Amino acid sequence: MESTRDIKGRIKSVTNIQQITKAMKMVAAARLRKAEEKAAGARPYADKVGELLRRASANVTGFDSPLLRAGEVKKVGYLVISADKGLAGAYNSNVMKKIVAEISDKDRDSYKLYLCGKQSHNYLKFRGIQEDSYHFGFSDKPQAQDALELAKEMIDEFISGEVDEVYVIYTKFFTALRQQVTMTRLLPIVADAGDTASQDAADNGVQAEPEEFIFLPDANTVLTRLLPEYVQVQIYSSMLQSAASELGSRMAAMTAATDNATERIADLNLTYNKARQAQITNEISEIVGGANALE
Amino acid sequence: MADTLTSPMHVEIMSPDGAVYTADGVEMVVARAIDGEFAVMKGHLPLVAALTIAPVRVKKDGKEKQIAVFNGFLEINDDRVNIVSPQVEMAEDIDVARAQAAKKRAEERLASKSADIDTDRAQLALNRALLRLRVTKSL
Repeated sequence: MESTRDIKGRIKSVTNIQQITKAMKMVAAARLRKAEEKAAGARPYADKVGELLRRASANVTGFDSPLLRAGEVKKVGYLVISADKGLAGAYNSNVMKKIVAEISDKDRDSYKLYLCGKQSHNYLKFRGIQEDSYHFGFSDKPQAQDALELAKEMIDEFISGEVDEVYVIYTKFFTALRQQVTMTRLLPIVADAGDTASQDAADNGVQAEPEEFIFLPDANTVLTRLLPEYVQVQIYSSMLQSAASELGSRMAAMTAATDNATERIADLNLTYNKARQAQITNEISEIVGGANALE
Repeated sequence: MADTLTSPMHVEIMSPDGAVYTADGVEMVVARAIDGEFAVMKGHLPLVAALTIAPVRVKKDGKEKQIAVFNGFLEINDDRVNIVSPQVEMAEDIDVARAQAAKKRAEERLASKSADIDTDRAQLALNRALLRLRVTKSL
């Protein structure tokens, strides 16, 4: 049986851990609210840019941009968005699982990895995989500027022919307890559901709705400027979603850790009391035994 | 007729971080596309314009409000004006001293004409600083 002093020491250390996890939980909860708002705030913007893109492309025929060109895919680029810090439950390992599933059966020279977040870098280094570019320092507070730089890098890589496709792997945020690792194609720019619908309509010679738009200066210029913006907005919203997911996961993980610590402290207290009682009983029986021996 | 021209439009300006400015009852919006300035009023045909680094002037109740818009797009459809721009700054939020400093820095860079200067970048920085200053003057 452990001595009462040892148990007391353990109670103290668990209490300390609990204080830390509790603080982390509250920090994550406070920041999660902001991150959620930000992620929601970016959505109308992203929708609008998507809508403009559809509208502009429906009004232009024969438009060609390097960003739309889809050819034979020899090399795939993955933009991986993970966290800088751990202690966020399964958040990082889920992202890692996804990327490992993607690349495990591929040759190293048939894909490129662009990593965001220290965790993905550390993990892949551990597995002996060297990334092609690595960014960190903004995982839980992404700024539009970070997205702008990433978008530039991805577009350059794509246009220069370094990669033939670019996917972004991020964690979609639903609630603090439900997130989903998602992979979507960034480049070449995908005609999404709405786009294909209007495309079909145009092919069949039916106009979905009379959309007579004037373009300033002209539709080609508008479209040329919209495409990079669209890429950037997609990256930015994936980053915001990931940030909210990271904070959500951390909050959930820290809540669980705090609850576990509470339970652990209760258990240890019980053990402590038992040990103390045993000690007292022991002492009494020694005294009684001693007294009996004297008679 | 005058009625249709002066009755109001709805204006919404969005940046990636959410709506920056919304207003009802707007009479006219003046903005600058890549190839020149234009104005929209009620009853305008649907339009999409690629904007440049320039102030957007929103006229409401006879008063004019200037908003700094750094590139982006303007769309008008059914008397609703939507402006989406990667960067939008309200005149109230602009740090004049910082803009002044940025302007000076950019001008020095442009004047120095040395080979290791990215002229395009300096020019853009100058444009941004000038826009900020111009918009703050309208306050």
